Amino acid sequence: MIWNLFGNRRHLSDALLAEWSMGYSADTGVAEDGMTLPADAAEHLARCGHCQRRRDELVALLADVQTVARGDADAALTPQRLASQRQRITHRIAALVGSAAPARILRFPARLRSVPRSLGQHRWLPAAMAAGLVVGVFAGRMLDFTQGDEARPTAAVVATMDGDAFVSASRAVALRGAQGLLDDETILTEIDSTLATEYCEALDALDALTPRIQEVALAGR
Amino acid sequence: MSHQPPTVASADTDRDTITAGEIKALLAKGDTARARERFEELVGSHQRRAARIAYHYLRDVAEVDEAVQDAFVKAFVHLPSFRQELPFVVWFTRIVINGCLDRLKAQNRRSRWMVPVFDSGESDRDLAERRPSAGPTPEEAVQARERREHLAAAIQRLPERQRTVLILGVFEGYTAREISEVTGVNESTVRVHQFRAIRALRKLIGGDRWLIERGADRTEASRT
Repeated sequence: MIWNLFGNRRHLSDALLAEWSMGYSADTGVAEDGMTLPADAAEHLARCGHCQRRRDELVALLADVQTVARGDADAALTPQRLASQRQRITHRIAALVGSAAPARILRFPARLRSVPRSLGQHRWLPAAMAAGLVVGVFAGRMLDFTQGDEARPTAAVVATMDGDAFVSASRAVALRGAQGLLDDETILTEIDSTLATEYCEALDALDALTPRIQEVALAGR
Repeated sequence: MSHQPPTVASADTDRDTITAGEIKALLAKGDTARARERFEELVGSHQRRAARIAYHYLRDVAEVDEAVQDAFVKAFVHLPSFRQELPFVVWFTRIVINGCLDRLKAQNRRSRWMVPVFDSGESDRDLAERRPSAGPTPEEAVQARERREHLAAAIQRLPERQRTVLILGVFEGYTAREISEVTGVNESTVRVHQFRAIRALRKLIGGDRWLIERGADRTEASRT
């Protein structure tokens, strides 16, 4: 590393050399903007081999860096790419000022073309497919409805798990309910009437928890 | 040994500034068709430079395409506010750089939420397997690619202002005054950033090693 080896008092400063090296031409001895070294600096440079080497090295480095950088950019920016870029610039500016070529308008056909014969022969096909779809959906819904009712346990069937005494009372109702022949009101009525005739211990606790109509009415007052 | 990057201040840029002024007048008169035609001249003379600058920032050709397109469209839209005392190239470069910085910010925001995708570009294997032609050997191609990537990575690591100064000054030949006009930073501050950028870059790429790897003539220079 030659840079600043001896300090700035005995040699030209890096800053001065760097500034002067920008755009320096060995042919003219003049740097950018016609800048020349101060007289004492130029005198020192003329007789100091160390500073001359530093300057030459710096000039060589800058020239080389410039070559590499420009070469890199030029390799990436091919003439074809620049040409297409220029075309796009032109087009964008033309579009901006409204002088771009008008967009092509597609004419709406004056009369519809006749349907090809091959398509006309199979016109029934979409209708058949649609009908099949409707039938399929309807059948599926029906099947689901029937299975759903069979799978869903009625209140009476659930209740059979609570006590054997309830089974005999609700068996007939459960069977009939499962067939979808009775509504909820009828089922409850039948259960009530059955319970009136046969005592069921298992339902005592449930009965105790259920508020009576009279109690509710009294509480409301 | 001669390093003299072509400065942007030239007769061409003066002509472009005049052209920009004429387009501005055409737009003021409402002659947009003619203004658009004239603007294509400016696109022709500034597109490559703009694309290169954008590439140094973005490193992705698709992003560069978008950034350059946006910059030209924006320039056309805002031409009525263009002041002719400023060179067109300076005004336009400012638009390009601001667009690139905005895109970088957006990329950073996106990268916080997205999983990185591996580069699907040309791999070392592709380069090594490429059949030799009149160009460099596969080994040279791989080395050149590594150098480019090394340099690009070093540039990306520089602070934003130093990066801008380096890209414009060293790569594209803008003078300190022009960079000052582009960035709105004092000219002497630009020179300080320039020096710091060069010093940092030299450190990041390993300046001595970089030159030694480049060829025997520079090896000799660095030894003596």
